[in-house]
Amino acid sequence: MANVQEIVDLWNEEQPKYENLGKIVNAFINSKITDYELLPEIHFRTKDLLSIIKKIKKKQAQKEYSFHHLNDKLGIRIICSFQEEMEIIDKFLKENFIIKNAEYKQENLNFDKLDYVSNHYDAQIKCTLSEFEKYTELENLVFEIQVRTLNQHAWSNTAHSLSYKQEKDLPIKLKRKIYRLLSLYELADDEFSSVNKALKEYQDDAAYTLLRKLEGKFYKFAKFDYDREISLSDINIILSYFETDEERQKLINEIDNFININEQKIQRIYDDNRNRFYEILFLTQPEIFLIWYMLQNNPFTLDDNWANDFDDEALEQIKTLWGNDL
Amino acid sequence: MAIKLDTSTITIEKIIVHSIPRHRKGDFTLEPQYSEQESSLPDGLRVFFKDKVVQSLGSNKELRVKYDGDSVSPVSTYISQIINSDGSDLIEQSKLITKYLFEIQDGQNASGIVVVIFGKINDKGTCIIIKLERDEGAQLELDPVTKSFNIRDVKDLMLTRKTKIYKVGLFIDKAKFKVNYDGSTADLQIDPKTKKVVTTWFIEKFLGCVPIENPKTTTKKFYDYTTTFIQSVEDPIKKAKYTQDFNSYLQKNSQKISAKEFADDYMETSDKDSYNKYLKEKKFRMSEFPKDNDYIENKIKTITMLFANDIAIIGKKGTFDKNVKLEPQKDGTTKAEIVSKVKSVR
Repeated sequence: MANVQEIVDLWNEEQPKYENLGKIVNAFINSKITDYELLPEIHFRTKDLLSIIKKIKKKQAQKEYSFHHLNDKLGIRIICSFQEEMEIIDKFLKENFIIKNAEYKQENLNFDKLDYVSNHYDAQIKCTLSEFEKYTELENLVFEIQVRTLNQHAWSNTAHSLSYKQEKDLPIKLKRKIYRLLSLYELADDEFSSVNKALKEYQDDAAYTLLRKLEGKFYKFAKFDYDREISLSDINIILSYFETDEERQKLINEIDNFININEQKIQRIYDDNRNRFYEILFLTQPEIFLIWYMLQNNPFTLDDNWANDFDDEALEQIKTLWGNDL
Repeated sequence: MAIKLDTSTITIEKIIVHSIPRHRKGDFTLEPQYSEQESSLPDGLRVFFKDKVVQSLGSNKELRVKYDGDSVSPVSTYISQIINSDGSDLIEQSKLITKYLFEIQDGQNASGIVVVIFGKINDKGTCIIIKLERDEGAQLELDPVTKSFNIRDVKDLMLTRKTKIYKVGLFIDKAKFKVNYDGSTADLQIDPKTKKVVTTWFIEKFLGCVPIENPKTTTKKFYDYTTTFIQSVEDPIKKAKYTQDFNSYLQKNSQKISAKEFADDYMETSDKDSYNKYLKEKKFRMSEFPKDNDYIENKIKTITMLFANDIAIIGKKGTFDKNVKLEPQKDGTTKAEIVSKVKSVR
């Protein structure tokens, strides 16, 4: 059986390393995942001592198990909005970490079963990446990364609060209630995905279409969230500056390419001004890309209309950030 | 392939300030006050000066220049030395730049401040010279300990508008950029109420530069491209209006003109953007250049309006818009009305 004092001593020695690793991995994911045009919630925690002891004891009752078998002494949790984002995060994790083991819980479920369906990874840092190269003392530490959607997270938390486990012997009526609830979460995930996809392709509201196009790009450069209400209002105003639908549509069609062509420049502007975002609020909203696009392509339309709705000084700041070709 | 000089990539690495007193020509009893050290530059001030340079060179006053082989100004040599030494010769060379400016100034010139910067543009060395004219009351004090001027005082002078005009020149090693110009300059008025005439003194006499292209050629290109653009405007009334306006614009009493100013003063917004796009395609810049109508004098003396029925109206400069009333008709034709005595028929 487990020697508790031995576990205590081992954990006292290892916990600070895992805590440090958690901070490093958390910061890395936060700064890199936005390159994939996502902004999920990311948390980490090191397992508390009592949980470790209880888990080892429980496992030891079933098989040979020791402190060293534990792969979730550090847990990283990534919570995304939509199911399709889990695939992107899967790609991100495989590209940036050594994945010792990946478990896709949904794949292991029979068609007639319902359960908590997230992706779990046993991972190590990749010291060949520049961000990790100085942490070679941490490279052998295995940690767990859980990836789930908001709905899966909600279900998991609720189930935890109810102390619910599938294998529990409950009255059929109660079990049925729980299954019905579980199916709702799964359905909700599917429906949210469908709605997300449909909205991305929705063309009737130009401001909304544009915002959805810009959102991921914004996450990539800014690495934080923005105020949607302000964005929709600003985008509607800016679009009203164009005299024809053709011009508006041209902007919608070309904005992706404009951002891609100017990626390095935009990244540099964001990196150079991180400590003065509060002075240049437009930099903290995705509509900044539209303004830069117009500075390049419709400078007079922008200049002639701007002062009716916004501060002249703000446009001057935006122009200065963008610069010009001599 | 030429590398674009993108002002958003400017970084300021070193900065030094010297002060020039007002003095009479040939009166060398006074001397410039030189900094013996670079000024320290906190991040906030670095951003301020970068922004000022970017704004100046982003304005309509920006002009591409090249060193004039016939100029006696040695400033180009000092600038090259600063760039080639990667900024390590900034102190000595900037003092020589200031000394030369002091020597060529006379009592007409206000006292001034010279700010010389070594930095990077597109990751390649650049030397930026800012010359500020300051009011007599606006003093800078040399710190006796650091033997340098406090750059914060220069910022304060600019913000409190105690300097009325500032001029900026940004220079590069053109071989590294594979371009045919040595830099860009801009003459700015800090206080728009100041009506002082901005001269080419700073560019020509001090920096020893000339515009990249002969002003006669630039003016001719401007005329040709703009005329072609106006011809592409479908609405005949608008076309006639723009033609008359352009004719007046070219003949107005001004030493410098620009496509931007013409568009801003006379065109409708949507046409301005099309015009901008057209000139971009033609690689003609929107910013200011010195006007010289030599090559187009004959073309702008008269305006000819030819109708589909082979009737033409010819008007002399400035008289067309006053004497010919144009009116669009429902069927797409245009009615032209002239009320005057018949002078001759040929």
